[in-house]
Amino acid sequence: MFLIHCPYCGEDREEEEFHAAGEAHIARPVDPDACSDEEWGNYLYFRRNPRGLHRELWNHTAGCGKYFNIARDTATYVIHGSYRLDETFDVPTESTATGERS
Amino acid sequence: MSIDRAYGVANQGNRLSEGGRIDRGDAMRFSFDGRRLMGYRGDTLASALLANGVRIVGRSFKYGRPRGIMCAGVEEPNAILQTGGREQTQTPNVRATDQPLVDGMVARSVNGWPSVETDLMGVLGSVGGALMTPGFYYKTFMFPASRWETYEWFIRRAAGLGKSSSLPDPDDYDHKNHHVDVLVIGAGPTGIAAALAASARGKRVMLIDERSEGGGSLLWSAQSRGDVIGGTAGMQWVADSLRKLDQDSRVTRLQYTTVTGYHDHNFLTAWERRDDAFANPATMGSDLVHNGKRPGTRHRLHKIRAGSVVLATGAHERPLVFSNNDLPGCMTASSVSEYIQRYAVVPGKRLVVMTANDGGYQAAFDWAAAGRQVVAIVDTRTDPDGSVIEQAHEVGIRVLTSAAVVEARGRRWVTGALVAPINRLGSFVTGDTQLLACDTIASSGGWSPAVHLSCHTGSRPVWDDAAIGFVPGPTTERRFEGGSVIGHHGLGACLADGTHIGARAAADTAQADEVPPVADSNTREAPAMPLFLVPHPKPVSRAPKQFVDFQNDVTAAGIEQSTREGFESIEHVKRYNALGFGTDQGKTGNINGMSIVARALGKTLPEVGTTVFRPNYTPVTMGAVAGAHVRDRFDPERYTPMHEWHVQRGAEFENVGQWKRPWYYPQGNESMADAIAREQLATRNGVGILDASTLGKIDIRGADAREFLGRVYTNAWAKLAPGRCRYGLMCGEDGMIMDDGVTACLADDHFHMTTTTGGAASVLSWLELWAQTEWPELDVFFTSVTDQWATLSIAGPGSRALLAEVSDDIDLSPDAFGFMEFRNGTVAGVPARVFRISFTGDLSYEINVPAHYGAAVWQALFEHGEKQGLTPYGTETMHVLRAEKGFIIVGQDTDGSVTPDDLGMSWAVARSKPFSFIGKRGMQRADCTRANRKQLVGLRCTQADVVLPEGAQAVRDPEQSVPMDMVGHVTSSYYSAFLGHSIAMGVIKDGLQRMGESVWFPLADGRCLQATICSPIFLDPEGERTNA
Amino acid sequence: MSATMTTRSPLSGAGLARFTGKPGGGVVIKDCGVPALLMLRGDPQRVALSDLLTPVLGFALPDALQCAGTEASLARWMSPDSWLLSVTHDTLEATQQALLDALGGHGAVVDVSGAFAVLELSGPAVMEVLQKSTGYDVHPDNFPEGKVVSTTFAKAGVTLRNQGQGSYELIVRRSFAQYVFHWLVGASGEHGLRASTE
Repeated sequence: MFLIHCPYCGEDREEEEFHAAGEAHIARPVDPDACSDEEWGNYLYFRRNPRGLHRELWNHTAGCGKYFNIARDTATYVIHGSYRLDETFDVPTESTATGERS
Repeated sequence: MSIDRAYGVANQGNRLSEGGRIDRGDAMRFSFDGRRLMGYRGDTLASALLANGVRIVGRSFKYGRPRGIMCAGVEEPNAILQTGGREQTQTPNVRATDQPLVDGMVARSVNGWPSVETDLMGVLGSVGGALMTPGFYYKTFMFPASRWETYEWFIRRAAGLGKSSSLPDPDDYDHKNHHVDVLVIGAGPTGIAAALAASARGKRVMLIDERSEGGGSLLWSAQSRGDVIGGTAGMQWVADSLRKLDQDSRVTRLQYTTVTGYHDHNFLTAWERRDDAFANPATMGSDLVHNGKRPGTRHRLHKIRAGSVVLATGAHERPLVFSNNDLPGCMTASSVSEYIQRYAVVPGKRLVVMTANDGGYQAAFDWAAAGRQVVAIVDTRTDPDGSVIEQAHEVGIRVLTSAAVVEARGRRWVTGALVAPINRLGSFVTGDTQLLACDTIASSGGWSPAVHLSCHTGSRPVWDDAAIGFVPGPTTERRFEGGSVIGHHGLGACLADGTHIGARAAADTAQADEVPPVADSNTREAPAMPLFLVPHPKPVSRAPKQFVDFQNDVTAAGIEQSTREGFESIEHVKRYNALGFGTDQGKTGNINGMSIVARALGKTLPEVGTTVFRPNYTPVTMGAVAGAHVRDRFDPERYTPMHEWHVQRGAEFENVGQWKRPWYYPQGNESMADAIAREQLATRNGVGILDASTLGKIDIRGADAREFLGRVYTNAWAKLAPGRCRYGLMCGEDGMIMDDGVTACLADDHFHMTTTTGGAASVLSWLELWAQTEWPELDVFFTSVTDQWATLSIAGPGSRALLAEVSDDIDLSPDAFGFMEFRNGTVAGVPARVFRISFTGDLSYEINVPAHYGAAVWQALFEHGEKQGLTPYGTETMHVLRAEKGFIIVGQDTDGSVTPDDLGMSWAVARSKPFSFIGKRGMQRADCTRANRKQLVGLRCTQADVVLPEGAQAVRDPEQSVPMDMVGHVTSSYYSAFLGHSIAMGVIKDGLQRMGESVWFPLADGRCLQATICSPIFLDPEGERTNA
Repeated sequence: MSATMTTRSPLSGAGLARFTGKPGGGVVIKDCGVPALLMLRGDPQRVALSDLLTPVLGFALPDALQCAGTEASLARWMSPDSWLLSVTHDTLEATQQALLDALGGHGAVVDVSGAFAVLELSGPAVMEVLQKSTGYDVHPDNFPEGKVVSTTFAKAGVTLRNQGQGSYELIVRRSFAQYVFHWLVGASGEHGLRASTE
């Protein structure tokens, strides 16, 4: 169960309030009719499946209903940040380990 | 007969007359395998059994060997019992060591067949034990496959770990959510110190502990060790500290609650057993006498989101592995202390202790202090020089060093310990054995940190030489650990750890709290010895069985054999042997097993590595998982405003998504078919009414609303005038049909869209997705009005006359109010939007009124319509009516692989629209335009009264050999009482080009039905009825 | 509105009457009847919403997770471009028209009085019941008076508002109202439930 920051509500919310909507930054071709079958197929079906940093589109369905992006590490599940569709987001480079042992 | 005599309170032969943390004033009855016994409040089921001298509590899983209670906590592998006095309260897999005694409790052993005392498998196990090697089930029961049912019956009958109730669970369960700054897991000295430090900083703190009371190891060690913390006695410090925490309104403390899962982003689940721990005996209702449901919530699952998590989960004592170490009477050393100190129960008369560390000595001291005989302490170390050795000599206990108990002797339980000298490394026996008579062997191989929770988020434990165990590994979670989970066992170290990490977890790095000073009598500690498998004079393969995982009967010999068979990865060895597969998840056996693998492979333990643990830490009842989401609250039931009317009218309901929709309205003893026929004929010949409120409705408004519709629908919207309605098809980008519905133009920039009942939510998110992500420049807003409008659909030739009776401000004449138009007006005095649209093929009006008027308007229609025979019809009749007209239902006649062309609905695709609408490019893919696609057609069965089964597969040649070439299937099929024959729709390859041809439907029941391909429009193809 | 037609509260069939008149009760539930609600839509990035609407409303639209206005006219933030406005039945139509006029075609004002049920929850155990029902952090530290959140409640979606004095407004889609009520009956069981009409 993720804890996801909604950039519109300005708060961290429980994952059950959200729906994942796939990979972020998939732009619709400006002129679909001019696309070859391959180009259209790439837009429609092909997605990255990286180990590590992944940018995802989420919808705050039970909250404000807005779509937004998150940058998430698929190996550690660390969410580096959330950003609105009209924003960009640079992933910080420092270590993500936060715990410690006495 | 008095309770005492009937239940044998006097028979608690192993109960000390004083001491312990039990309430002797509150005696409790319970039964075990039919024997009536007595214990006290504060007992666990295990301590009460031991108090009564019960030694055998079950038979082992594979070999059927007698087993007794071995531990005193959740790590117990053997004492897994079945509780429950009635069928509906049956609870399998109850750890007796973790189950507080409840008055009236009924407990049974689970895996003795026919009984614990005479176990058939025990005979098999003793004579055929050598045959039951690792992988036994894989090897033996694989072939022939036809015999599996026989094997399974035998295995389940013989093995089984309890059974579930066959009746519904009568009890209540629920969930509760928490958000805290700091969650501390474990209320031992480390956890308490951490909670104190965090709460002192004003944080919201939660302290959760699995035992019935806080204190952790202090519960069984503080008194006999004479621990003093900050000037007060150990348990007094616990009581004072917990009281202080309880007085802080920002602290939540739960006892008898197990944190069972550690999930991403510091989300944890904890299982609280409320009935067992906190029930008031006066109202509890004993299991023996109560007839059903317990009062209150039985189990509660807490869902906790924590800023920081403090793992103070402690460690589980590791028993040493020696021959026949599974005989009842073999226990872990600390559990012996716990039974004596906490429950005033001495589990036997004569004790032999075997230990590889100083800690094991306490069991002997406690045993001796209870006035019973300690035969010897067998210390496996060479020349240990800790202060405990001197202490043992002072109280007159014999200590053997460089020695080990290599084998337990006894048939049904321990009667002696075979002791032999061993070398410094503990790898072989160096001399002759001697037999010490005893009835209890307590062993301590050290402490395995309870790293389970730390693994749940994917963090792998790491080996720590000093701890002689795996400790929590690195993590991305904000998590802190201290105390014995990282191998710090001393009381002072635990308190220091807790105080430090409590402050750190509270995000305070500057301030350091004072650690309470500790007085510790154990002034000089001798190093522990890393010993796991105790050597035997015979090699492992020939020595009597040395058990590693008791619950699954995994032996040292079995593990060695699997490495000889080529298994090297610890993950493979684990699975092949079922090591750690039991309900105890190998809490006592895993590390011992890995050490044996390491030895067999000539590797070190860190090289072999560890398997990781998954949730849950201990088994959780299904009731707790379900919580209150059961019965009528399992899933939301959505009701329309007219729901009560339908109920009163005796409607049968159909679930459509979460909605409850009237399915049909049977009258008297009418069958479903009769009811459908009646409803259908009444509508076709007169007037019927359908509650269509569940249709999705979306208010669309904005300067670019029309443009937006043109992009998301396949057809044209540019010219739809206010007052007009249009049917629209919605496709995905792949060109496949996703939803359909009628949209009305309310004003040039304002539309009322309807969607299918099931598609309402997904269509709205779909519209929002495009508006928000691709076309933010469009000025358009979507507002769900599904719940706003009650939709009353009247249909049939009499519908105009009926509407005229209840509406006087809408001109209903066909010229003034044509098909596919809408009007604002009043119906039954209520403001309404009336759409003249039809899903039946008959003259029809959809009357939309605000939901709070829905029931009243519905009622008004019946007051006026009764004389015309106004008949309510449900979804089944609606399906028949629409199918007669060939109207599709998205999701029934389509399945996500169907384009508008496939449905013969090219008329609804405006390919010349300037914007490349969603789905346009997709439906131009070669696969969508090829020949031989499945196309929607009508199907007339050659037998007029036979209804083709929906889903039946079509073939063109019924005589062909199997597998046949399937060319399509039936999507909708009904009997039409109005037409007097059955009708069906289906998708058939090239169907639109094959009108008049026959297809066959070979069915599973042997019939082969023939049907003729025809137009799906069975009724009124010219639309005269619709346009009437 | 017809004088002869009766309106029905979303909870009219739920059986609240069983819980009225009971003394005490750890949880008190009130059915607020048929509300007068407008869903106000407008994009502040497209038009100067505040400039346009404040004169009509008499107050500025609230920011994220806040509410603004008076008991007779209260706006709840729902999303960056939507607010749920509760008014009175006699002012609803006029308010809707005035807002539409002020928006001048940029936005929407939709009558959603029939789309929602409005409940009030209070009583000494109200926090317990909220904690059993929603994963949102309802502790006053995080959810103080005046705050409005849309979140999950059991398996329904709701909008919750802390009205102060231990009272919480719960707005749920009409068709889910009876489910939510049944849920609340279960969750309140151990504390006692009382239905209030005041």
